[in-house]
Amino acid sequence: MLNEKKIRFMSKLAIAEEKEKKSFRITGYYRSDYIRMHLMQDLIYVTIGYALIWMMVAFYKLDAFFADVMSINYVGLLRQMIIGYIIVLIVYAVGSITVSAVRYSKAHRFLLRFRKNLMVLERYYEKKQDTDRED
Amino acid sequence: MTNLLVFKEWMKNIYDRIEIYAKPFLKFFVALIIFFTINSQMGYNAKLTSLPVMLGCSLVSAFTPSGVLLFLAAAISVGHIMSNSLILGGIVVIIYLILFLMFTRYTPELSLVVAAVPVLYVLKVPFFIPLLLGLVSTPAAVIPVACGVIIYYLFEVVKVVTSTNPGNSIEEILSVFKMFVDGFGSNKNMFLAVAVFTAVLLITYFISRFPMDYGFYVAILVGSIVNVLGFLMGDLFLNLDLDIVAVIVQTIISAVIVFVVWFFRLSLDYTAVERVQFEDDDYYYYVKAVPKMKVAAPEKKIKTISEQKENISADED
Repeated sequence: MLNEKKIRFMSKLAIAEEKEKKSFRITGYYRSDYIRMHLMQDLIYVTIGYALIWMMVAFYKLDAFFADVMSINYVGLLRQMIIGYIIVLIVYAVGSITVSAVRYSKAHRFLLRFRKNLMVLERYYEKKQDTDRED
Repeated sequence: MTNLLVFKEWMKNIYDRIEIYAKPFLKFFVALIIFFTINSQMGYNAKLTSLPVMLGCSLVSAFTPSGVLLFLAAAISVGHIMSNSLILGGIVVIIYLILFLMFTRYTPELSLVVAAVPVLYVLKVPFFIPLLLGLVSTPAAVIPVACGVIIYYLFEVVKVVTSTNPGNSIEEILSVFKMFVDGFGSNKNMFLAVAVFTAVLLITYFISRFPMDYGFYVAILVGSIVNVLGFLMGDLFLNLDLDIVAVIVQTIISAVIVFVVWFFRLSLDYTAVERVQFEDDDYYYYVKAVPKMKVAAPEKKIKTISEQKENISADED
C-alpha cells in the first residue's frame, strides 16, 4: 500500500537534491580549496578585464602618444597602471573570498540538513524491516 | 478584492496545469521581444533582421539557460554594428567583454536582466526593473541592472556615431573611436541612471525586508518616490534637460505593473496578523505570522438534466 507520508518526504528530498545540485558540487571541495580556486579564477578574469580597459585607454591616447613620444613620463604611467591594478586586485580578492566563503557555508548547511533527512528516511526503512520480520 | 483573488487563483490553477508548456513559451516570447527590439533599434544587417533568424534564436533561447539568450542578443547586436562599422563593432565587443569579465559573470542567474533593461528603456518602462528586483532579488542585482543601463546608453552612442558614416582609414577610425569614448564616457545621463537605479533597488530591498504591515507596498511607493526625486535632483544639479513629466509618468506605470506582479506573487492579509512568543533551550522567540490571502476558485459543475435516449427506451420497455 502507498505510504503518503513517505512519498511526501522522498519527494521533498528529491526536489531539494535537484534544486541544490550546485551545493553538492561545492561541498565536493575542501573549504580552503574552493575559496582558493575561485580567487584564482576571479583574479585571472579581472586581470584580462583590466588589460582590456588599458588597451582602450592606449588606443584613445594613440595620437597624443605619437605627438609627444619623447616627453611622456613612462615611469609615472607605469606606476599609475600598477597602483590601479593592485587596488582592483584587492577589491576583487576581498569580494571573491567573502562570496566564496558565504556560498560554501550555505552549501555546507544545506548538505547537513539533507543528510539529517536521509537518516530519518533510513530509520523509517529500518523500522519497516523490523515490523515486516515480526509479521 | 474577492473577485481579484478569485481571478488570481483561477490564473494560478491554469498556470499549474500548463506550466510545462508555458515556461518555454514565455521564454520564447521574451526572447522574441528582445531580438525584435534590437533589430528595430539597430537593424543595419538585413540577414539578422529576417524572421527565420529571429524565430530560430528565440527557439534556441526558449530551451536553454538565460545566459544563452544574453549571448545571442549580444552577438546579434555586434553583428548589426559590425556590418555598419567594423571598428565600432570591435569596441562594443571589448566593452561587452569588460562587462562580462568584471561584473555580469558574478550574477549568472540574473543575466536576463542585462538584456531586459535596454528593452524596457525602449518600451518606456525602465523603472520597472529596479523596483521589482528590490522586492524579489538581493542587493547583488545592482550589478546586472547597472550593466543593462550601460548597454542601453552604449547603443545610443553607437546610433549617433554610425549616423556619421565612418570610413576605414586610420584617421577616421581614430576619430570614430574618440567620438565614441567621449560620447560614452562623459554621458551624465548614464551615470545618473546607474546611481538612481542602484539607490531605488537598495531602498526597495531594505524596506521590503522591514517587518511592518504592508511593507512590500510601502517599499514600491518609497522606491518610486526615490526614483522621481533622484532624476529630479540629477536634472537640477547636472543640468541634464530631462523630461521630468515623462519620468513621473513612466515611474507611475512601472510602479503599477510591479504592484500587479506582486499581487499575483504574494498577497497577505494584515487584518489577521498573529503574534506568538515561545522559547526553546537557546532562544526566546517573538514571531509575527501574517496569513496569505486565499480564496478557492469556484469550480464549474456541469449537470446533465436530460436522460440518455437508451435509458429512456429501456424504461419504456
